[in-house]
Amino acid sequence: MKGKSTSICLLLVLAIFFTACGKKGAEKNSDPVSDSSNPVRNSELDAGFPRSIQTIDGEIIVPNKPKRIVSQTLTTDEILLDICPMDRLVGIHTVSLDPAFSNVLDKAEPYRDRAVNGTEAVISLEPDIVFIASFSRAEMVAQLEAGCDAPIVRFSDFDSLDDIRKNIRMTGYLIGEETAAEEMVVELNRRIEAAKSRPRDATPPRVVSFGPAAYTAGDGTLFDDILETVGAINLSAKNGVEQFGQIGIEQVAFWDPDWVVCGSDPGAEEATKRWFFEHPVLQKTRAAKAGNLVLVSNRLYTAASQHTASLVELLAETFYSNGI
Amino acid sequence: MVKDKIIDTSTQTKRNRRFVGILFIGFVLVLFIAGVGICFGGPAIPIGSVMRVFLSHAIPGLTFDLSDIREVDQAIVWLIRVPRVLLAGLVGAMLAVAGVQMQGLFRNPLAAPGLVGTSQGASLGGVLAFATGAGLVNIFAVPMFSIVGAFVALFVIYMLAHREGSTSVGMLLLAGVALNFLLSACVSLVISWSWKDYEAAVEIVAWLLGGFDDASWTYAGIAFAGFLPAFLLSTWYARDLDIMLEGEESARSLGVGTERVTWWILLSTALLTGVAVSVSGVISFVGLMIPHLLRLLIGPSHRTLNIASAITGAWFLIAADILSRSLIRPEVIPVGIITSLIGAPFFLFLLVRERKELEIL
Repeated sequence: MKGKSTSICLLLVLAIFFTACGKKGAEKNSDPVSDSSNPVRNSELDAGFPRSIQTIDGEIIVPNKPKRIVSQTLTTDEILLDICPMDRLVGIHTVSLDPAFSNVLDKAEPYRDRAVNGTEAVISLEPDIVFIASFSRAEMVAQLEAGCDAPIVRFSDFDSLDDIRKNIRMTGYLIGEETAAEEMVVELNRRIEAAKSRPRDATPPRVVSFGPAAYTAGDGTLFDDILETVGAINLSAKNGVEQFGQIGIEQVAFWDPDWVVCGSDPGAEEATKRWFFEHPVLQKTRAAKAGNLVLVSNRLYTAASQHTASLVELLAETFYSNGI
Repeated sequence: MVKDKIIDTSTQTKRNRRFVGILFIGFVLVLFIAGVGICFGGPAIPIGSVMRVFLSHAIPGLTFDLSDIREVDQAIVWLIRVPRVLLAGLVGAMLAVAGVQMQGLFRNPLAAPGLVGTSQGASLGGVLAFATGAGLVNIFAVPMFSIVGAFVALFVIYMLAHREGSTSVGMLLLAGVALNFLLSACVSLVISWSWKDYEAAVEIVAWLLGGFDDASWTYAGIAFAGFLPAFLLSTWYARDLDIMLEGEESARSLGVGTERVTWWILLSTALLTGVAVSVSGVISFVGLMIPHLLRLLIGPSHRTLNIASAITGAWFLIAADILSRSLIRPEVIPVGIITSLIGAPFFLFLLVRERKELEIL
């Protein structure tokens, strides 16, 4: 009797288990994005996996080729929208649809219904890999780890063009699209080399990044690396500003730069120009006298992806438009 | 009784001596620190060049050969450093005098100028000027929005506290606390909306931290225009405020029009804080710390307190501004952070020192 009851219980447990599995499988199969029923396709997908990388959070292991990728940073959105097949990218960040920040508005548009923001929304997508921002709080990471049982990838270095190359390669590697990622890096390098090879003036331009909010990019920033790449001198870095710092108008005037590069929001360009050229002290600088204010859209100014190449090209073209 | 009078007279004499000492030292410090600020307060321009530029502009008829000094350096000295030092001095004086008014009106040595919401009102006005883009287009936009914000806050608070011909100081205090929370929430709301315009949001945050990076002769003029009438007003009513320290009933029995005095004191405080915030952002603790410290030294007379606080506030804030530009050169630390770093420990010191009184409460 006892053995019979045990057998019935065991059968019940097994039945519930298989029902649950079947239901979950059915739910996933209803999504054409993640058709896991094709064994040939599965073996193709999982070739070369598991894969692992080291991040600031330790070793991240991706057991299988990800089929439900969720990105929660603009940088990884911009990379993934170019290298990842649409059916595998199940979630992007809402910021990718914001014209003030995004360089991929057109590419993100078809993903509008998959644009999410926040832990709960990410978990509901049942991701098998999640890319999050370097500044995401520990609670968010813990919640994601508990809620979605997927590797949580956090890139923390965005301070140089090499960091961008590394992040693109790493993203491609983790999602099994290393060939596409490498092609992206090659294209990025080609554009940077083309910008570098522009004829230059004998004297390198002395440049400072500065705007009405009085912040500047100093040593150890992507902007500094870009200026070095195009052969310009970053006065903030040269004078000891580390990373991003607040400096006064007095300091900028004292350095008397040849060029001032300023981030600008859409629609604020004219006001920013007036602020610079009509300021009683800034208007006495070489940059103002020569009309050398470079207004860069903030979406380009803050980009840390393959789109940074556009900023490199823009600055090289602007600084050396009359070059020898 | 006679002994008490002798003690009172001796205490008063001591306080008078201290007042004269503070006045004298204050004047010397203002001149000395202002000189340091103009000569060394920023990038290293040779002191001889600074002096020549300063004197040739400041003293009519006196001319120096400035041809060896870069045009941009001349502009730095005369168009940034001198107005910056003036502005810092005026804002320091305004905040300190506003603090005297509030501590007197509320009969509370821990009252600060922002207690009735005028400071937050001015902040909200300034933040709206940035968020709407007006702050980038017109140099007067931020000051105007801020001053209007301070007066709207004052109007609201006065309407709330004024009933049947009299204004309850207790109601002013409570309504001020509530209004401060409300205005603070509005400031946060505007900031959260402003993130769509990244630059505007960064500007708002930088402005709220307080500082004199936008100093100009125009701003120094606005500050002076706000300071002078408010200071005269507060000094005019200083004696009435002294009497009101004994309680409103006693003051009324001695013929003081407490309602009128309360209104003018609130008005002068709104003008002082509104103008101060409009030209420098939010700078904390000056209005709390300076009057409190001086009251311990020279007693509660508002006339002497006003003058001493104005001078002490002036040199204190000029010094704080020099620190803000010098500590991590070439970067700057917002002055509001410097004053809070000094002021918050001082406030804690006051709390510990007056713990016994607080325990009784």
